[in-house]
Amino acid sequence: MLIERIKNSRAEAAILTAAKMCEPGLEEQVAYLHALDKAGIPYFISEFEEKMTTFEHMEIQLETFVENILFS
Amino acid sequence: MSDRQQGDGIVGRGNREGAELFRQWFSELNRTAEQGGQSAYVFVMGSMCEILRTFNLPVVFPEINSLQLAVRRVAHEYLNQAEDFGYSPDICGYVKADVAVQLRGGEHPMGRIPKPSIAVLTNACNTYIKWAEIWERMYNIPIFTLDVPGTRAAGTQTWRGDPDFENDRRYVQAQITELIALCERVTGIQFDIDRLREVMGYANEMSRGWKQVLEFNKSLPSLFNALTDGTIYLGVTNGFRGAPEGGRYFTNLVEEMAYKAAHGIGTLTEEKFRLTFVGVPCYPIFRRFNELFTEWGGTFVHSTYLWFASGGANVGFEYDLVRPLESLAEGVLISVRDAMDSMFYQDRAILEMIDSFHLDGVVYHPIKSCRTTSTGMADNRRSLMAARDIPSLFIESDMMDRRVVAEAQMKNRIDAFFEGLASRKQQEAASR
Repeated sequence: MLIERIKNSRAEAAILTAAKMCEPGLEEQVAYLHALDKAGIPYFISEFEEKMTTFEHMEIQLETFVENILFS
Repeated sequence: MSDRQQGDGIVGRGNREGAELFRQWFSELNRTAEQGGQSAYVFVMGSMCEILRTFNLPVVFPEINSLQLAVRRVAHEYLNQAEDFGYSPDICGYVKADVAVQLRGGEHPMGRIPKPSIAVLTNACNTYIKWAEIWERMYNIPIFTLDVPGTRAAGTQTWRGDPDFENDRRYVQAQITELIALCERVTGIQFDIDRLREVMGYANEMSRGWKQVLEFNKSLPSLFNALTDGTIYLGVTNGFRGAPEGGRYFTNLVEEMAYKAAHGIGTLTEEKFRLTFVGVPCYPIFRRFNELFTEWGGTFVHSTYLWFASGGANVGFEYDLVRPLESLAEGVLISVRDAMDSMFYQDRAILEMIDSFHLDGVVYHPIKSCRTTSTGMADNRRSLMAARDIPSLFIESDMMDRRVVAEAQMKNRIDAFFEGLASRKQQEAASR
């Protein structure tokens, strides 16, 4: 379903993110990432916490991901 | 035969026979895997073994496979493999260990685990649902989710004759009928209600025995350690539910407990403090974890684990074989509901057992891997403390992941707990 939606929306990449306290989300993430690998669609994967206050690390990771798509 | 000789044969028999049954069970699973036979993947809370055995389906309990990996101190290898595959450190360790077992083609220290032909689960644990979806994706097998209505609020359980209960029972029975049809399709075997009656008869013998065994530990001194011996008994309640060996095992175990009670034979621990355990044990250092308590003369006379991880078999529900399907639905409803209550409302049950089991303290063990059993524990503890003046200890670790087991910190907390218990006993003695 995710792959179908990505293709229908003509998206070039996907961002997968799940809350660390949400076990169902974390479990589904694995199925998604393997499906994206198989389909050859680039993706960015991250986990976040409810009380997260610093985002610098994620910012750097995201910028790198975007640059990878832009310049690949 | 002299009384001494008779005692030598009886005392410790439950542990010996339990270990032997476990080897037998895994050996049969290994044979099934080698021959490419069918199997059913199930869970401890609502295994539906009664139906599955009627169709001659060997049962696989991935929860038990996983805990075996931790007890055998190889869990980390499996957890790492699943995390490399993409699973988060924050999810259930049992799930991750099982994923790695599947990725290794069923490789397990106790033998090869067969692939599933069907998976049956209940809503007793939310992780069951996502876990079964993994097998569905891996093997393209049917998964059957049995929705068992739980207790709507603490203390509001309904019973036979109550309209709400009858609605719930009919709801469960309708689902059981669907499960039977699915098993017929998967196995190609036609449902035989007399075979179901036979299986339910064995389950009755087991439930009756299990309830009696648990009651026996009111004895002074306690007859078995609920944490260590109890885990062996628990394995049999799950793996052999509905099997003749399972029924016989518990009949023998009742005999052993009666003998020990009559002769004042307790556990190996010189019993100074009687405790109950709330939660799932710390399997990565299982023996040491228990020693942290027994070294102080503490013994676990009971455990909520023995309730919920036996799928509520502790209530001792016995099926009416004259009306098997209706009675099976009633039994599943009452037992699985009790298993859920043992996780979510266990403060009430513990309150009732403080006096009858002569409890000195309550040990809460929330674990990182299992939100289902751990989330409400702090509130339950607060509720218990508000209702009764009984010491309690709250220590956190894990059931699978040795990376989050801090033995030294736990020891500090446990030692302080026992010092408090000892001081309390001295003060009580002085005030008499």
